[in-house]
Amino acid sequence: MKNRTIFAVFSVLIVVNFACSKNNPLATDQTEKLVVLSEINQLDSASVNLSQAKAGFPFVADAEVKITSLADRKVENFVYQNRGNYKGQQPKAGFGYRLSVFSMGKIVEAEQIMPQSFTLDAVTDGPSALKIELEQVHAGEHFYTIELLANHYNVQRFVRVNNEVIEVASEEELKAWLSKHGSAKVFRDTTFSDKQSRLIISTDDVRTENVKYNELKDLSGRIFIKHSNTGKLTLAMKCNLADSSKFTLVVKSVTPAYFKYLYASDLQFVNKVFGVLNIPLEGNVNGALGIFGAAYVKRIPIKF
Amino acid sequence: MRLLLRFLFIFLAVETCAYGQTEPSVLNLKIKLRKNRATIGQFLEDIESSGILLTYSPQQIKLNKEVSLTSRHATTGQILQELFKDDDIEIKLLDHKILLVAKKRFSAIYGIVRQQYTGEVIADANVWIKDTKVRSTTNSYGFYSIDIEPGAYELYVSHIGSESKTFALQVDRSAFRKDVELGSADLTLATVEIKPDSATKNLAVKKPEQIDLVLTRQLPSAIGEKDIFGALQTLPGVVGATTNSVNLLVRGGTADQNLIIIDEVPVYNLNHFNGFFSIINSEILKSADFYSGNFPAKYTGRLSSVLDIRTREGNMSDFHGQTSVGFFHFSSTLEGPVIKNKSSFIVSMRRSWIDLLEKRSYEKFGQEVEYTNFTDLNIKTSYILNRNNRLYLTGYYGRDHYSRMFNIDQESVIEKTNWGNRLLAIRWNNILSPKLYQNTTFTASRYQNSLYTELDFNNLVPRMLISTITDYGIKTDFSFYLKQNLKINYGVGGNLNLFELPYLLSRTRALNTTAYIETETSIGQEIKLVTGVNYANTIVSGRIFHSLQPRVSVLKELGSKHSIIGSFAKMTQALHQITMFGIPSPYEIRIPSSSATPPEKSYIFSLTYRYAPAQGTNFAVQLYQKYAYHLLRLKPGQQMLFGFLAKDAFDRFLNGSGISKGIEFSYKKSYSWLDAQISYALASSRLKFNGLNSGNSFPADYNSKHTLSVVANTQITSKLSLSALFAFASGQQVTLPAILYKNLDETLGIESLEDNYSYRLKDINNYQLPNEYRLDVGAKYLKLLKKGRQRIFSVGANGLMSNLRPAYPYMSANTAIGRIQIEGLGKDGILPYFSFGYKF
Repeated sequence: MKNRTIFAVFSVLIVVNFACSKNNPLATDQTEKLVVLSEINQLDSASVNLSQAKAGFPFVADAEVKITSLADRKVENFVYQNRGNYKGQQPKAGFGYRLSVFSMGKIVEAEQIMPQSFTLDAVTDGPSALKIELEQVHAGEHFYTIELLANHYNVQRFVRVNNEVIEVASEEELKAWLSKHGSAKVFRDTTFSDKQSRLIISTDDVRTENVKYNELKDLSGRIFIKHSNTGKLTLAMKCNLADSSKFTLVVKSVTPAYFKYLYASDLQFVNKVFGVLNIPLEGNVNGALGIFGAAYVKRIPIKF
Repeated sequence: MRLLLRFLFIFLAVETCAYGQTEPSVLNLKIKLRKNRATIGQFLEDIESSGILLTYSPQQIKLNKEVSLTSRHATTGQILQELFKDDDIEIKLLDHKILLVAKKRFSAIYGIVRQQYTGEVIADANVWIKDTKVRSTTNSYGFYSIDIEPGAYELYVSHIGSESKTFALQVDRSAFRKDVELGSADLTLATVEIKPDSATKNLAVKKPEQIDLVLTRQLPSAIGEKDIFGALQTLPGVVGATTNSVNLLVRGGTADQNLIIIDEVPVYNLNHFNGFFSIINSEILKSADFYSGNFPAKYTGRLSSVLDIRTREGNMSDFHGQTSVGFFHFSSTLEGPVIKNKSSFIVSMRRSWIDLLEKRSYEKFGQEVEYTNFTDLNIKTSYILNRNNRLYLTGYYGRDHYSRMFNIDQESVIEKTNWGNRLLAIRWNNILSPKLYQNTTFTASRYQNSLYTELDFNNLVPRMLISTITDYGIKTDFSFYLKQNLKINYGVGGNLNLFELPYLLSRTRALNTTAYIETETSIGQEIKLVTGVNYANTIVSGRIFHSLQPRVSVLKELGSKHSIIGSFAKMTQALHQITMFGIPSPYEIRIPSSSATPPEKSYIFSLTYRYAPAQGTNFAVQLYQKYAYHLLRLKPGQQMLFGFLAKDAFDRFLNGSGISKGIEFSYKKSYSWLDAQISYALASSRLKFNGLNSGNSFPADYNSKHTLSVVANTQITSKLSLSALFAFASGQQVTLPAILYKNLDETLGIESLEDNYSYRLKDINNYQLPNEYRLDVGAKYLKLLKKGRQRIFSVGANGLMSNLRPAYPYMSANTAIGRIQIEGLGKDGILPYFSFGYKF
């Protein structure tokens, strides 16, 4: 009987000891780490966004941001706009720049050389297909990203039934309303929002990183392609079009570090869908998170 | 490795020097004979006249035999060797005297050990010659062979679960066959445990890996189905891939690193019911050997463990059967003679029945209907051609089905998953001579899984995905009992793997061939040495991958209660598995080795101390270290779910290495009222991949630092027994972001989707999920009826307390509070079971 009692007590102690672990999901690092996000290109004013890598991503408004031309050492100070955004002058293709940010008592820096120019032509190839042609006269390896942006209507289509305004989300929904309510009147706004969204585009071209790695083939908003030669590069792609939008084809020749960052960033986005958060993302700003990217950009309005 | 080679070199050098310093003996003295043709007696007189002392028995030497020598001038040793070259005379040296003695003659006692009532052969039965140190064990087919001098002896044969028997033998100079039948108190191997006697216990020290089938039947079981994998997970260092899963993770290895063979047929997936229990039907189970180190030379192809399962052949003399029904499924088994004492059969089938009741629906939640079922069928038959030849046929068919029907936009969508194995083995056992046993097997194994979905993922996933592996093999194994204390096992084999793969992966095939040789020898009475080597090659697309895998194990007995076993083994794996989930699905594929995926290999060192102080008590502690190379891991971003696999295999995988080490304890104690077993392992397993974690090492995915299992089984009355199992393992390692930060899109003026963020990793597998544990309890009531019939009631519950390992931890970030959320964790609740069985 004594043995039984000892055994029972021993068993209960073991079970209780090991069973008392807690499920405590990981809190991420909440120290004040600076995040620098910037793309400079030859078409737009240089812009930098500063924020902190902590809950809510608070923006940084009191930083000193300047850019130095590596060619003539000319320094330009950026002007704070709002929500952590700082603006500067338009950079020039082929020139090198150093971004310096003084914030939270320290200086962080990054350098990029603006990629060389290229020419772009694009034609639609059916209701949702596009064919583009890039021409490069500069030697060396070039890193291109291709994306299709859409400006949506400011106000989506809506129907008015018995003076009640009802928004409809799609053409199909609109048709369904019309078939049910013959008296419904259709209204459509023709002004577009300034905000752009990236549409999903895909390609079967084996030269693209999307097909090579087969990770961003069908879900991605960008096509990534490296091209080592001068001359023409043609590429066909399919677009997942949102209806009633204004479309803009954006092709960027970017620096290798920026190319790598954008690819990994898109990969992070796709894998989040599957609940997987294990994609490494490396920036190029010494002492801070984020990226200082440089691009030569071409934008073409597209009508399908 | 270098250290080991250096040690061997020094050891050999010392041995060589010691040999070189041997003093000259009288055998090296040169003498001159009177003539070169004479009788043996005259030559011996010549030698003695030279002052050399000879001792011999005139009855053993043909003194009058006339011989011619090649030379009159030679050393004593040379002359004597020439004189007795045709006779069985041994020349020995004792204190400067030469002894001429007749060589010992041995005769072989050999035969087959079987169960008395069923006629089933018994593997690992102990065969001893009483009052001597001569002993042996039967091989997997019940065969034994012992070399002994002519004389009168008592042959002692025993086996766990059987009555021991002693036979008086008169052995003369010819081989002697003695087939043995051991009685069993439990005809159907169901419930009654016979404690091992002391002789059995001593030999059991040398077979630490044998799975206790009695324990298998006593443990509380998932949904009422007794499963050997439940017992396996009570071993130290062995855990389930998910809690309650039959997929094994051994010493930090992955689930695909375990070789599972049933009657020589390799099994590629053993899941039933999403892993709740295995395809191994306990009703047909005869024996199971498990190795996580100390691998015999015949095994190759996996890095972490080998599970060798043998099934029963069926009763040779009477018909028996069982049927049982539980919450989810029923099973029936029938066995008996086809031709009495010559041919037998056993058939066993299982089927889930819950789906039959409610019009194919298993669970209904609102608009969603889930449905799952399984079926399997085992058939085995054997035929004794004559005393020396026997044929076996083993067949298995199993199929699982899972489907889900749900509504999207008021349209019904169906998803269906099917998976299953088909196995076939034809085996021929042949006793070629009293000392040579041959087993030849033809095997076929096919595993297929398929997914049909009506979901439209923007055409990302094809409507139908199929993944199949087919394996055709032939092998022959020999056991050669060369002489007392020297047994040689050798064999050759080959198998052809055919792969049918989903997505863009092309069909492919691999041809594997193996050959092995292994010697088992004793040095003195207390040291047993097993050395062997396995050669394997794989031919894929014209490329050949070779592998030479040495194996060594040394057992040293320290008295009758203690023993130490040291072992080394190299293993290679030319078949790689890529999987997304722990459960079978088309996302689980296998690929052969290639330039981008060379064979994985491991080197395993282990040292075991065993202590068996008394009957029913056993303590073991084992230290191990395992080095693994060419391990494969999908690159970040590559994954199976939507077929995100690069066209070029070099772009798919990372190649790395791993190191696992640990210490494992197990303790078993049997009291009159209680059988208890405690196992604990303290382990570490780390991986290192170029291109991952900045090339630094990181914890393996299944790095369970602590694993503990406590099993108790008590016989309350002769009819009622209670059992309990508590299992604990450190939580799984997963990779979680260390820092969350803003995405670039907002800066570019692109409308971000909700909570679109970027993240920075610090280390791979930087977070350990909560520890896992579960407490299962069960009770069994056995009622014995007339003519050996039985009624068995089993009732119990899984997960009385539990925190289970998730099949798929889904992670997301909440940027507002800066925390990572993990879904799929936590308690699964209590799962009760009940079953009623009837045996006759």
